[in-house]
Amino acid sequence: MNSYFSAVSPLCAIGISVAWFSAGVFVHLIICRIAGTPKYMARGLACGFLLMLCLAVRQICTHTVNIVVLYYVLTLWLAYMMFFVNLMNSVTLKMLDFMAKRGGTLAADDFSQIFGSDSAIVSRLEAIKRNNFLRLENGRLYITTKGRTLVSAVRIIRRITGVTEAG
Amino acid sequence: MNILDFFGQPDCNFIIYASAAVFLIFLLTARIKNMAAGASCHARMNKANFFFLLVYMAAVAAYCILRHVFTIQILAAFMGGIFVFVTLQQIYLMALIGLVKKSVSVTVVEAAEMPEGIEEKELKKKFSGNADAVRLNRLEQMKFLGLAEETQNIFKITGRGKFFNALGNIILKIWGLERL
Repeated sequence: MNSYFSAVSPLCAIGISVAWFSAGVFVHLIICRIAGTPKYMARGLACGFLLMLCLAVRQICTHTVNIVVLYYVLTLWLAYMMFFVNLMNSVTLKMLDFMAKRGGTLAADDFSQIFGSDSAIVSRLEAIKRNNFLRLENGRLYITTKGRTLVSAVRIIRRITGVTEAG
Repeated sequence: MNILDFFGQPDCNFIIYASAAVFLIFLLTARIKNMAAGASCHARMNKANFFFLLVYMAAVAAYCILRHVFTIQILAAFMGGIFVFVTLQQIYLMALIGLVKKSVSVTVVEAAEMPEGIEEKELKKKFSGNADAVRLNRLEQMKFLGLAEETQNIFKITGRGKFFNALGNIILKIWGLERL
């Protein structure tokens, strides 16, 4: 029987992975330049999914499926996404940028102007409601089925991993 | 062709299997010793992971010496093995633990879990204090990372802080992205 799987040398596996990952980054860079920041995360994940799909289809068609190459590319893409998510969302980096733009010196209390306690929770809560994890009725918030599923899944993972403290 | 014959060379395959096996041992040790419990689990797990990484590297080095295999392909497989070991921890495991432990969104959803729900104002009030704590924690983190210095409650950006901020902004500019 003709197998779909194929071995490649370790150097070749690195070369193939870097080439596919670089192609994905190049396409993603063009998409980002055109579309900008809105829905960055969704587009990044879609781009990664398409990259993996193209690689898998190519490997299947040429009977060269290699798990290590697939792992390398997927993981490089996730690391790349995590890098940008941190760069764009990190509170520490935002505070650093805030300080740099105001001459590099600030009192601790001045940070509360932009990183105010209300703005952070309000925007987070809006996103949670928009994504249908909570619903608002007469000023009260109720958990939805989707929210309950999320919480149950998180509790199962906490039990498996042994995480005891949350928040 | 076998699905697990990644490289067509038994020595190179062994290096990758060893990486996954040592990571599995690390996972079991972390679970048995309850390393994910408590507040400072990230530091504790990273420390343990680094120890197991050293064990893995020593084991591969010993294997190569005993079998007299020193080729560029072995070196590439070794780099691959280190990549697999480190990313299983940093990209998958820690992201999962971070999500179930520190995600503010999950904690907010959990807070509204009772059948009677929760007042929106009450929930905002409950988490406002959290945001203040996060801000203070991040100021401390900036000092710890050497990105800023503090003198009598006044924070000053360091040369290192300026460098990393400029680097981040250049990358964001090239990609045409903005901070959220």
